[in-house]
Amino acid sequence: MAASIRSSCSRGFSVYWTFFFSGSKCRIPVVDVRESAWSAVSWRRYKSGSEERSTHFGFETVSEEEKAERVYQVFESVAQKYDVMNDAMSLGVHRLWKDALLHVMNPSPGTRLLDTAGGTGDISFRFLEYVRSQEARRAWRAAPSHQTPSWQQISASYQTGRLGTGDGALAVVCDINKQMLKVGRQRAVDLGFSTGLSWVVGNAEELPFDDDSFDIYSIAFGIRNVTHIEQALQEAHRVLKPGGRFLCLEFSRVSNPLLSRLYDTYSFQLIPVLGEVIAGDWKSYQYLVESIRRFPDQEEFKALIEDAGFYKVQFHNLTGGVVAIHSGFKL
Amino acid sequence: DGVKDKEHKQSFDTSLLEFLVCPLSKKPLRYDEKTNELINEELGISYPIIDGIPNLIPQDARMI
Repeated sequence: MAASIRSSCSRGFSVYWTFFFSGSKCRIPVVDVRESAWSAVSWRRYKSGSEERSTHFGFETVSEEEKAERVYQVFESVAQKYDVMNDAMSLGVHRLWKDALLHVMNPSPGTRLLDTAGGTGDISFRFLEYVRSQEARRAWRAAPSHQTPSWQQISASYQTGRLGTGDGALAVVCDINKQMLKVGRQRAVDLGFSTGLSWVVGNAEELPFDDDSFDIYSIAFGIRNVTHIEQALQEAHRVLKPGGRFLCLEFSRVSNPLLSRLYDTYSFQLIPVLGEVIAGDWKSYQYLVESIRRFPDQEEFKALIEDAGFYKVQFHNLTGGVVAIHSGFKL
Repeated sequence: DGVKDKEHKQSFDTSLLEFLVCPLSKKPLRYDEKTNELINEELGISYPIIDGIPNLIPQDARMI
């Protein structure tokens, strides 16, 4: 498995992949009575929702209403500094994690992506760049004897409007937070992305999209903040086309005890301080660290994805399990 | 003021209507150019479009 992943990557990335990826597992779920009964129960629990129920906000226990409100406030308050903070906290490694997600996704021209909790557009921008570079490579391969295109070919490509448009690839960024989307759209303008991008304010638990609409559903560092994870997964399953793929990038569990201790010290001692110094917001970053510890580990989360009806669910650990990519298919 | 408004206001990309639905009923929405809203006739609610970005959070919808 690891070998096949490595060989399918470009040469430049192979070293990097061996470094970041430590094994992947896969299991095809057998849908039994117990499992479907469980999901029916969880659905009912979600639906019967008017009475107050409690959930966690970091290490605190709060009502579900309050959690949604407080998560909103966290991201409203950090939106402007979000990208700077990501670089500072992860020492830039979050960029490699997001690149790794794109390599697993490996989108082709014409792919329609739903970038849930996509906020400032990191995944969608990478997606569009990836598709365009794929297309450029394909065009270069197709060109006779690998020459630069003649002016006739260039003018023809302008007329059909297919020069680097990603051939109809579309990324829809959906986030519950208006502030994050605003920052994202400004970045899109600054980076020169004009076609193939749409922005929608929406809730991952109640997606405003039709059934069977997307080829890929991605959620990067977002599902942790959703109040009802099972509900978000069911919505992901609904909006994906049959054959579509669910991809999630999220903090996970570090199994190596030494790395784990280092990571704990770093995140509990340093990250809130960085948050205070750079973004002037200790509490939001304290929440960030705590919410990471409350999120289910690799295997538990994999089981949740399988419960939502996805097949061939597998995960890859990145940086020793600090972060994991989970993937599953709707069949 | 009008010029400033035009610069600021980004138009809504109607191609989104192909797969955008009401998050509650999961039925298609109608774009009302005059009010710049997305309307669900059946439930009698409308969703605002701000700076060209549709807001499809049920809590932010308006009864019509």
